[in-house]
Amino acid sequence: MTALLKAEKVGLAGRLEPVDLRMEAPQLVCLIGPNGSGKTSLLHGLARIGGPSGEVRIDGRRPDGLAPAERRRLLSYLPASRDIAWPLAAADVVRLGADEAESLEAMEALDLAPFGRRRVDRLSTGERSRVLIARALAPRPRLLLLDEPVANLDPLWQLKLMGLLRLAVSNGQGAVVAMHDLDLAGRYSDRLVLMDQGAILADGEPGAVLGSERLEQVFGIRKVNGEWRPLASLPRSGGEGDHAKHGGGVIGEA
Amino acid sequence: MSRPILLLLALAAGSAFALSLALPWPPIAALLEQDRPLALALLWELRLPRALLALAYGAMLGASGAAIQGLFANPLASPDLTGTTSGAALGAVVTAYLFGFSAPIALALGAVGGALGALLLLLALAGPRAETATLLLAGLAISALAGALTTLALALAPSPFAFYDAYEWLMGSLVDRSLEQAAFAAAPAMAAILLLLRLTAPLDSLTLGEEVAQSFGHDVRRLRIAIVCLTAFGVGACVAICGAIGFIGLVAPIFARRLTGGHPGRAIAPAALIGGLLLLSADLVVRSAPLGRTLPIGVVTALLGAPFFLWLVAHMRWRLER
Repeated sequence: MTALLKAEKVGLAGRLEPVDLRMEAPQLVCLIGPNGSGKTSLLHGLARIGGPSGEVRIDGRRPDGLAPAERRRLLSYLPASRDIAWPLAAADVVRLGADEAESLEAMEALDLAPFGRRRVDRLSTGERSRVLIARALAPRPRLLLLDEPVANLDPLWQLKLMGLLRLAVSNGQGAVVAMHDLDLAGRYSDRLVLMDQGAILADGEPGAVLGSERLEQVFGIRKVNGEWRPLASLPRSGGEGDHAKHGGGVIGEA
Repeated sequence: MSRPILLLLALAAGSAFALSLALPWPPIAALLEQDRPLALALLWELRLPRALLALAYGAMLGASGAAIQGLFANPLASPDLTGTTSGAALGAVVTAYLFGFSAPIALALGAVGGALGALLLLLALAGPRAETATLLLAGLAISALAGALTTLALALAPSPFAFYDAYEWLMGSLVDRSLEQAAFAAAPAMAAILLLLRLTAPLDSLTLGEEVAQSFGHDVRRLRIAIVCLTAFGVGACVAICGAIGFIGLVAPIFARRLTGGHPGRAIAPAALIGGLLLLSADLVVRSAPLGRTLPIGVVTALLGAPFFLWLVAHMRWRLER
């Protein structure tokens, strides 16, 4: 069977070390890493944006050079920016790059029917996010490349969106999603990819990556009593786990 | 954009074209009875070039205005406000008065070169997706520079009549152009418009930003080069024959986008039709104005367009302050 995603030596000059990323079967892969760690650059490399190097194959096909009509069946990219240059109606934005039936379905999934005819410049940032997410989901591509899709969404929609992504995966689509909410990423993803300074540092089961020392080093945080805390505020010695078990007194003891 | 609206616009532009040939009708009617060949010559050699120029130049300004606005993601970008027409005028003046080549082809080449230079300078100064202020400032600077250099070129010109000669032309005029001259402007303009129409999809996708357009598989760099070159080519050729005509390239796309639900690329076709319609109408106004003498058409479009531009600036400010 061909891998859903096979990216080899994908890079972006100066911003991303050439990296490999594979997805054999449909999965929800979350990219995590501090600001500037290369998550967006990796998504750009996979979506063939900018001056990408290396090779990307989705279902064995290279997206480079494909006509837009074919390419949108392979991949779809949601940028972190929620800017829309012209005041189109919400439904027309979703329709960019998808046909009528597909866009209607996506709008329904994101509950956009009530403001389909509203101009996007008159929507709130969260509503605009949903419009852009619907736009990215509409063509039902093999691979979704989403940059911080949950940013700006209210708690309910964050959960609903993660549910939609799970649904997409169960329907055979793959998703590579950059996000900052580690708990949400851990709960919903099949795999976590930890990035720092333009390189992949860890790639594996969410639980394993979230509990790894690598993650602590990269983010400078650790989970104590179910809460993420800055390492700087925790005691340095090896016994901090005990402190955590005994509860309080963690902050200020370092 | 529904097909009926496009058809309606085409019909309106066609009617204005026919009116432009027919009006004023009495002298033609009288001549048709007395001296048929003379009447036909009058239509063929005087009125047809003028109507053709108005239609082609207006359509070129509308189409390129729509494309430039889409490219810069800015409704205030247009061939005149970005200094493209001033650059073209400078190129033509230098060719004609400093180098002494006045054949239409030489003028056209000079103007296309000038327009290209102005657009490239704009891209270098303001960047590909410029803020309104940067774009307008850069356009203003380029226009001012091109205007000053044009005056300098005329002052240094060997011919003592250069200023007087160039004045009417620089103000923008469709009068007394031969059919050959009209073809020199209209053919490149039509070719450029047809090629611009092929850029509809990538321009529409730019609504979602450059990155998404690239993820769709559109080559944004090539798109930018294509729009700059086609605009310089078409607008340059028109400026070489008719001088600089302002505001049509700003106004037509804004109206056109109202018909396309805001889509910048899909606005190219209606913007071309609206641009042609506007310039034909402005020319009809010029011809029927009871002043006893003809106004340069550039003055009329500026008189009508400048207040619209002011309204637009005020409108954008309100929106930003909202």
